[in-house]
Amino acid sequence: MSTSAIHILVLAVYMLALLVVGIVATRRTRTADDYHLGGRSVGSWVTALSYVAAYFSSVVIIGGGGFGYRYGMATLWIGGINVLVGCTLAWIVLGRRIRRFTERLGTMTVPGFLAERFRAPEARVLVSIVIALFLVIYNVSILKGMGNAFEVLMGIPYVAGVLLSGAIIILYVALGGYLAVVWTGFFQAWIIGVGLVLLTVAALKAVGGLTAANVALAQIDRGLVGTPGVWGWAGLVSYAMIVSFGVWGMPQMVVRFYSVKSVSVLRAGTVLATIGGSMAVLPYLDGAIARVLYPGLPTPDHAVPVLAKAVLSPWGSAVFLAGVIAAGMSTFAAVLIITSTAVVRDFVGGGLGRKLSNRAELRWSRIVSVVVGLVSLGVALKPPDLVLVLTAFSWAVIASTCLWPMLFGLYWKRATRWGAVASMVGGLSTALVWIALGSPFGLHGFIPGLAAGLVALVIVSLLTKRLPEDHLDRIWGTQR
Amino acid sequence: MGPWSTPWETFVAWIVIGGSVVLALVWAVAVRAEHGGGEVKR
Repeated sequence: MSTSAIHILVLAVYMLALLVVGIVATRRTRTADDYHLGGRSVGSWVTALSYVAAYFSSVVIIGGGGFGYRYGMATLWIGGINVLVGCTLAWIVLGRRIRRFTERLGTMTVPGFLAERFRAPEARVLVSIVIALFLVIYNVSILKGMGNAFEVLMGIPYVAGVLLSGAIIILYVALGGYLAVVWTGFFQAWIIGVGLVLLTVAALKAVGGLTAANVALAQIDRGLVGTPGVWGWAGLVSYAMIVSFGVWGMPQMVVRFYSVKSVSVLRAGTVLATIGGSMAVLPYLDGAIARVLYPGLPTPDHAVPVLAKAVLSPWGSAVFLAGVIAAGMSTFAAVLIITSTAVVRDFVGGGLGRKLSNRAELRWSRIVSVVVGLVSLGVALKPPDLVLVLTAFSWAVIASTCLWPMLFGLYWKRATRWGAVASMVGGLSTALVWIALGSPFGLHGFIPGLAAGLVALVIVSLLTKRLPEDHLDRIWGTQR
Repeated sequence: MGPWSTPWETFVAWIVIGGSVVLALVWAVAVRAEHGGGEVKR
């Protein structure tokens, strides 16, 4: 069998499996609550691995490999911090409180939690608009990453790759809702993991082991094996912060904690998400190895695809390709469902005050998923350049808006309505202005956005009236 | 040239990951003890 026939066969089986999972999920989705949150019935394995799948997109695999290629072994730190901060600590610090508080408040969305916790209706509208706008930008970058993967790895034209994978995702998200997203995410995490492990083993074998890779890298440039190395502290630390700490403010990630069956699910989930998340380090390592084996590539983003083509067997590269596509599809699906929820439940239902019947809400959620998906697809067909910059840009804006109100909302009773609103507006506008100014001092907009949001939340909260004690007691579960 | 000639930084990511797994396990056990083995209700 020819290589391209093997690729097409593996990909077809994989896409078919996704559709089957989507159809099964559709049968379990009867109410709007099922559609948005799977009826709060999800267990530890599915929650943990779908979290990991939503975390890593094709952009991370291809772009992370590009970073490894350009900056060498220091980028392994990013993978390490992804695991510690983006997986383990996120689960420990956020998981249980989010699950308990959202249940006590009767809310199922990130904008909804912020609105109820702070009694701030404006927070619901502001955050749902930010989500709808910037997650679509993020969607575009995910689709672009997938389209590039199709093109470079399989020779399938970019437009065909984007349309094919995009259409399948829109179909299963629109039909099966949240359950389809997490079940397919669980399945996809395995494919991503197997693909990355296969590539890493083959790459290490080709280069002659880790030591040989380090020695060869040091011969190219000593900075490729040191920390911070050729990248420098500012770039390395701010990038690691965006893609690790930023997760704490990303709605499509924290919503996993809303939907777990019970708080006890989070115990096993924390361990599983940590182990699953540790695959984050592999693309960087693979990129660094590619630098040794193929030093003259036209762009660093070709590092991982070129490596995969060269060191894997046709079957191995087919699985790796499916893994790259799976990473993109799972993230796109996670973003799609959260955008649909934000628009229908928070903006139309909460913000504009339109009361929809359960059936109408379910229908509208499906329609909005399709529309948001198609808009993202349309933009992705002729997208702007620099995938990773775009991703980091949209992440930074959403995280700057949501992160502190979320965290302080869980841990600081003194945080007030206007403190939270000031933090959102301050974080959002500072990040946007900073990016528009062209990121002065080489610092990414996420860092000043985060700093402004923190200062605004603390100062304005201390200057404004505390929320009523009985409201806080209800949320913290301390009422008599 | 043995494995220890590898610069120490390249091992740190693996140590951070190993540490994270240990942290997650310790936390899971600690929380279990705190709740006497099982917390219920949705």
